[in-house]
Amino acid sequence: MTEHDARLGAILRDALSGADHAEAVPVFQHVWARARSAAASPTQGLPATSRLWTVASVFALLLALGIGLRDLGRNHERELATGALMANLSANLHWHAPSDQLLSVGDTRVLFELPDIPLVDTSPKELNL
Amino acid sequence: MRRDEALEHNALITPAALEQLHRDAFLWTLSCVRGARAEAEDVLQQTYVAILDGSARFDGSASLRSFLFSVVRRVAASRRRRALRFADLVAHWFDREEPLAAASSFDAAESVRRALRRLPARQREALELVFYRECTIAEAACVMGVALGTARQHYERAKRALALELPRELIDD
Repeated sequence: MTEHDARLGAILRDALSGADHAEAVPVFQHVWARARSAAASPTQGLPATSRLWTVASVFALLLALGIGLRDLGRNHERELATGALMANLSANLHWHAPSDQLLSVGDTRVLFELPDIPLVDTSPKELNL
Repeated sequence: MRRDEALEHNALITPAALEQLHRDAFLWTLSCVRGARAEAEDVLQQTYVAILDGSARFDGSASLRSFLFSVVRRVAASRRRRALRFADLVAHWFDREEPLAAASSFDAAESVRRALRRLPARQREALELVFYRECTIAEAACVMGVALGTARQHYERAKRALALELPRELIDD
């Protein structure tokens, strides 16, 4: 070790030892006892910050689970068939298909003229019912 | 459990041996957490838990002191990574601005501590372990979890950096 190093080391030791001497060291038995109870049961005796993280993690997990289950439930909900709903579903809006798209997929074999069928009176009177 | 009885998951360690090193371990912990006392107590407790449950296992290849210091360092580092919060960043920033307030009255010890805090973490650790905690460079390498050559590099760079950071009158005295 050079003289310069020795000088540097002495300066450092002086500076740090002053701060160390001022520190009260916690009693070993207390820290050791807490550590032993923490080692015996992983959650009890953990530092407060760790417990906080554990609680926050469990809470976040439950929240995510709740949201997931709620969404799952929503997908399986069936709407009751009411009169209004049936009227809505039978409205033109629900049965509208763009004609140009239909033409593009249409089968040419079905494009034939319908034969003229004379109007037949199918009233009960005509049929002698 | 008796004080001289080996631990269940660490057959080479006894509570009595740890108690002997407790003061040194606490002061090193305090240094690892930048002087936050409550945090230091938590870190040291967690270190003892790791030794008790065997997640940190001592194989006797280094001294017990080096092993204990290295576990403390690892626990402190992992907690710091997890708990890196905005408040820590702000506190760290204010810590750097501290010299303005202290500049009016020259305190040699404080100026050395401040210069030490300004060094990169690895360099600070190497200097503190070798110059103050009475470790050899090999022991410091073990504590820091790096190769001997790397520790030596950190140590040499730290000496040069600290000499530049310190007030001239301290070095030349």
